[in-house]
Amino acid sequence: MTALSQAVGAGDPAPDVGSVFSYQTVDLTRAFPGVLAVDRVSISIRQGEIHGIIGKNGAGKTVLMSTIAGIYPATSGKLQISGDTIDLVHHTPARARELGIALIPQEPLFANHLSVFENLFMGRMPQRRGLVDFSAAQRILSQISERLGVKFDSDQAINTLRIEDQQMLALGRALYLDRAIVLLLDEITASLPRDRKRVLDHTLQRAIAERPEISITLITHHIDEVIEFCDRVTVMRDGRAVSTIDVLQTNKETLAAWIVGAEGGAKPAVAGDPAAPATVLVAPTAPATVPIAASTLTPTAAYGSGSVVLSATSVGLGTSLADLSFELRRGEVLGIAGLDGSGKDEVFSMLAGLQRPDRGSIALSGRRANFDSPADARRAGIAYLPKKRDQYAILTGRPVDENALAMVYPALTRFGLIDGKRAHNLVADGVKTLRIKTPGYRTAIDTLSGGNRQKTMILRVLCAAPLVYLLNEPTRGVDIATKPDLLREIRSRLAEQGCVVVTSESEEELVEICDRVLVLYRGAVIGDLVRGTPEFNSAQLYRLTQGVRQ
Amino acid sequence: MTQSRYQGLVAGRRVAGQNLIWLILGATFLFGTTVHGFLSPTNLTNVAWASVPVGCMVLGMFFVMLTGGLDLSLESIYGVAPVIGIVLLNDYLSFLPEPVALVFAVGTGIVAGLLNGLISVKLHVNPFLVTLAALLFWRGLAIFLIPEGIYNLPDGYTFLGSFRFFGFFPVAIVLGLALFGIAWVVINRTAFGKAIYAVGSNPMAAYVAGINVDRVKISVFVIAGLLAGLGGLVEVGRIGAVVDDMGQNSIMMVFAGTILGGTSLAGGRGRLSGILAAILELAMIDNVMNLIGVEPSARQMIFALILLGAIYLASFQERRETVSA
Repeated sequence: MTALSQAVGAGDPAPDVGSVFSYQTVDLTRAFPGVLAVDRVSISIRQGEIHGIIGKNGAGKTVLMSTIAGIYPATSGKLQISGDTIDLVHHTPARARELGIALIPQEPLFANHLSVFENLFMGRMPQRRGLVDFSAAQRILSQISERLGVKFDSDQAINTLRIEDQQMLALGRALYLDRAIVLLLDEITASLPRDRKRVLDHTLQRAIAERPEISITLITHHIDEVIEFCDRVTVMRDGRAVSTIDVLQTNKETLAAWIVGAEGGAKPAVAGDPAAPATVLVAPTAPATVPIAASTLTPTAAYGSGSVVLSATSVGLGTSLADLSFELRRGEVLGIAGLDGSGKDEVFSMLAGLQRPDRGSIALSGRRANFDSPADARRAGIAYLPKKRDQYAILTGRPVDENALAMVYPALTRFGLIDGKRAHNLVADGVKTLRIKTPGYRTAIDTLSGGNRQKTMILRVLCAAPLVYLLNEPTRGVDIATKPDLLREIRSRLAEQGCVVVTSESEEELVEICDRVLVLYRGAVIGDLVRGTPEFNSAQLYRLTQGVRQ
Repeated sequence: MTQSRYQGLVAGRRVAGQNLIWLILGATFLFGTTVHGFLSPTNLTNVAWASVPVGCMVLGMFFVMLTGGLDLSLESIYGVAPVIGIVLLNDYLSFLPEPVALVFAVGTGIVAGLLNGLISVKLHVNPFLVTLAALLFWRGLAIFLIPEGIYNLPDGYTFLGSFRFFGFFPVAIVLGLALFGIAWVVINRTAFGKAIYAVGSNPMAAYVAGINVDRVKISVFVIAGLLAGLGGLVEVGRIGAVVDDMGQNSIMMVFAGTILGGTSLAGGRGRLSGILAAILELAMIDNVMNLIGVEPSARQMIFALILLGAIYLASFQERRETVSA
């Protein structure tokens, strides 16, 4: 029983006898309207350790870290650090910086057009006798460049660097310039190639060896990274810290079981696993098991019977995707699951015409479809909804109707002119069906809320009435109340009109709407789950995305 | 009651906001009525007539600017297109009927625009630099071809600018209005027009949505070249001569008109009704100064000050739109 309470860090902080903690949260809670993002989390991070925080999307990892860094005030809770106890309700970023806390976010905040030099030393220029000490600055720069494996020119505009390089610079600044003692890294490992992950690991180990008083907290979605990088890991689920585990004492299967919780089904992955502590078998804080209706559903009537619309044969792209093959029939919804870097995004960009496959071939209605451009893909009958909507989809400053119809104006043209009545009806119907809240169809899209902008983009692909709907994270940024509508729409209307290729960060959503899900792991298909089979559930899906096979 | 009054107020402010340039034009007109001779039909006709040639260039610039580009070379295309037309007719192809020379002139505008478009888009050279080079080149060609100017023009070559219906109403005004009508249809009622706005608003999103961004960008340069060539022909007819410095230094006025009309320099924003008002405003300011008898040497300064004020006022238009939309 003692072992149980030690493994489970929720409620009462796990006693940490024999080592000095770097920081400790006490009953940290952060509520957003209608949701407890972080629920009474008490974790204790030791000095000199790399501590992982893992959990599904929406488990509360990022909110937890942001609260510690003072970006959001907590609803309640305390932070103990360097002998101080901070009331997190009145925490600020400035106070966090004074305490030596540095958060390296997924997308570092830099002034895009300024140079690397100006960005790194902004507000903290090394000085000597009132003048900028360039030699000191240069020393720090070369230290960052060497140790983190980033190649840059200090005069280069920072936005010419890739996002992972910017993250490394932000980390370098925290380590060598600000000399932070609590480093919170939010998913900065996700976009790194393997060799650079090794460099990062080495750098973190070295930083700890040089300054044993620091601690590193690493948010990740990848169990592999926890195993590679971390000493201990805290698993979060539904806003709570459900377990803190010593990485040497565990394995991928056990961690996956903790992350998915009771939805993993009657047979937890850890059964019979000698490496796992026996106490891990039951997750005490797991919500009551709710049978997942979707997993017991039989496939749609159309499943497997329609004609083949889209097929891929041994498609590959560089080192990011190897040998993908599938067939998609009319009326089907195909899910592509996988973590960042699994090759999932490449599948979408090839089907959308943004990248050409290096190997293999794609066929649409029996015709070769290795597209050269999105215009090609569109003509062939594909409508693509990109993931980063503001960057790649929203027509800023243009009205709702033009945004919704951007793909179909050529199709609405009769004798050279747009059929205004059809255009109007298309938008009016769509706004009604999708319940888009807008004062009018000619209102600039920028004035709509995020969820409604999002729905307008869904309306765009809907209006296109293509053979294949290609939806990259269609529910991203949509409020909880609207999500079921949207999912129903995909499963009923879109699948009836054509077929759908979809991905989502949420395994539950994929299980709800897909007939079949292909799971990618490190560029290869690791699983192929079909609706109606016992494996077709979100827990199994999650395990596969993590590379855990059974 | 209060609610509806408030809404009425908001709607009123929006209408005023979106049409500020028309209010400015109205104010200029009211001021003009105090000037002797302004209201005469002849004078008003002349104002409209004089606004057509530069108006053509403003219209062309409007298309380019909507995609987020700009074209400095329009004034030189405007100058060189009629030169090429008349030189081809006089020196090489004199056996052809006179109006064919008009086709050569307009064709020159199209070719010049196409070159601007192809070089800037396909070779990825900043349109500012490409059209700066074109500005110098086409003006240079005009000077090279007709250093002396040509003053004996066949009627078939000048009628676009000089012909008057019933001996009174210039065909140029009809042409100008027709061009506006066509532009309105293209911008508002065709897929190409919607693509222009899409490209200007977010080129990456337009590309992902399957719009051929390169083709749209090249097309607007072609349209601008064509319109500049037409504008040049109207001006030639109006002044009755082809001279090598025609339109020189007018590009700033073209910019002024386009921006005054509410077109965003960043692309994706702008309406044709504003452009029409801005073109008339420019011609009217010029006309009123003329009638009052402002010293010619002082006109440019006064014009600049009026312009600054008008652009400042018109800039409320954009702010208003963001606030109220």
